[in-house]
Amino acid sequence: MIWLILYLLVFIVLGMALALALAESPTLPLHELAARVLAFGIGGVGLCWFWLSMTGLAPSRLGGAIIAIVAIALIAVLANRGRKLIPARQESSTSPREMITVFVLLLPALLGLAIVSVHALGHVWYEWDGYLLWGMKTRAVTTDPLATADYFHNPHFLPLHQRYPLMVPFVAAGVNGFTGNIEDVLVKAVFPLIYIALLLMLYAGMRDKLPAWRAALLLSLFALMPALVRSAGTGMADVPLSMFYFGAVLFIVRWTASNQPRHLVQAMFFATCCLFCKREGIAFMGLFAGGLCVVALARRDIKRLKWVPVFFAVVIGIAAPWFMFASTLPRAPIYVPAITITEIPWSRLPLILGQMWSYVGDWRSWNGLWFVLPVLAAVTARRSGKAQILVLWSFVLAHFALYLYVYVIRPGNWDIIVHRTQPRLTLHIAPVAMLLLAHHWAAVMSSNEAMDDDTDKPAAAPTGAAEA
Amino acid sequence: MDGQSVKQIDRGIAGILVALLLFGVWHGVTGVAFNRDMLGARAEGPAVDEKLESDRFDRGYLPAIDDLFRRLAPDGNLFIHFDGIDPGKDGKQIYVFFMRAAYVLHPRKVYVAPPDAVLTDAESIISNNRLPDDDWLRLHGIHHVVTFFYEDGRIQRTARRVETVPQ
Repeated sequence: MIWLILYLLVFIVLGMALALALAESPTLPLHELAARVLAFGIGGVGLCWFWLSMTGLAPSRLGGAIIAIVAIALIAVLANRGRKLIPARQESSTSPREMITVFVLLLPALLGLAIVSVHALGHVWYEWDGYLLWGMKTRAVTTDPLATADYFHNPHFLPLHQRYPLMVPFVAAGVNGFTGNIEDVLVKAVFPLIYIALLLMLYAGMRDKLPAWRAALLLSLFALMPALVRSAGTGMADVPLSMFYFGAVLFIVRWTASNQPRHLVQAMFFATCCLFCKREGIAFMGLFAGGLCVVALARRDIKRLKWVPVFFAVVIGIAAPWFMFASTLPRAPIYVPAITITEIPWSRLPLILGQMWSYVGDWRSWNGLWFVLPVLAAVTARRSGKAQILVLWSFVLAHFALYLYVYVIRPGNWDIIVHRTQPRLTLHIAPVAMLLLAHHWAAVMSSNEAMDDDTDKPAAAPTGAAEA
Repeated sequence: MDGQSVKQIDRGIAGILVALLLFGVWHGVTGVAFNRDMLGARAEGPAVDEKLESDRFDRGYLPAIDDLFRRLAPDGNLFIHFDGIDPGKDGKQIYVFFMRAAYVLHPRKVYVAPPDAVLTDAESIISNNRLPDDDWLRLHGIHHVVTFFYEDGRIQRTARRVETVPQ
């Protein structure tokens, strides 16, 4: 247990260093600070394990100590330059009644965390894809550095997609590295942590627009979504990808309002983590490119387009070592023939749409999200025509369009593929849709509660954050 | 929209969201949000034997399968021999046994075929799955051989230890 706590400290120390280095201001509200430290820490630790493994050091206590020492050194250097991470003081005093309301509204989220923790820590890695794709890789990177790990070149394991990105295996392998054993169950302790990071990031994003009790209500609604709760503790890479994808979109949305390069830099960090988390991350690069263009159009500021090549140069530059390593690995066998552009069976589009809706439209699985969102958007349409909402809608719609296109062009039994993947793939965009819901709700809030009615700037961001 | 109607809309939205949250809590408490595979998990050893007799195969039996391979191969590498097992009928068992054994025993190795054989499915496993002689087994650090075979139409298993010194 002590080693698990020490590993958690590595996340926190590296997260603090990255938050200090990348955040728009070192003075952040407590919820914002917690969200960024944990999310940066998880993504940063995964990337660091990869780089250490490339140099011949598998996840271990020594590797953890190296990461922590480098992070502390970075914090010291930044502190020496006058940049110290400090929780912002609450300007308005919160009444005890409000605090109790927020606490009560957050209790269901704790129930969600409890269920996720039972899934993660009550059982071995049991999902088929979970243990074959991610569990096997976790064990492989635990026992050997990447260069010498037999698993990645073993032809017996070709169907296990040896080229899949390694964020989740490395983050989980750190548990093994710290305990000194190959853990059957404890290794999955990172998944509730990733779930918490996702919730904290979503709460921080919603607090840009909503007061605490409203954000707490929406957060609990999200945290208890059966589609999320069922998946978060099983050891799949979809919820980690959701967390990183949400982080990237959140900071692009904040950049829409602030035009601060540091917001975009943080989006770049999370976009890199998407690339290193799951293959879908590659497709998300197209969504980010489109999203950045929508920002420029929505703000009627064509100069912002200059950031598009910078964004991709940084992201691809950081991810390049992974792609270079992956290119040396064997390809998984292709079970279905490729399809040419003239053969795209568009006629099955309505059938696929119907089947997709049968999953997305299951209100129980999504706590009504996909019904409430369009209704709320229609009701608040006249009051919520802001750039940030436009950007968020473009991400949500483009996301569904992307997966729809993939289903259409996929040869073979599309109905089986939709059945197997749709709930998980919809999870990737669900936090963004929840943030969109928060933005729409904010449009009909009474004026004394409104965070930033006119300026479209993040209200919870520290003083000076949006002026630049 | 005037201020009053905006306020009413706001209250209506809050009411709907609270109702949905209560439903969400209900689903959480009543188990809708639980992963059914996990709830159905069996940890007892005999479940594996029960499962071997079954045509169906599900993930609830993985802990018992893990336990089985750990007991049958407590040290060294393992060779699994599927003696006469039909990949058309029991392909899923073949594939799960090999992959789960490889997962559970890592970093020890599990062999079902020569190391350079490409294995993509149960058929490719069976077509490469010939029991080598003991010299080959010793050369590859294999201490145990588990054999699955049919008896009275059901899958049975047997295990033997490979002598480290040739007899």
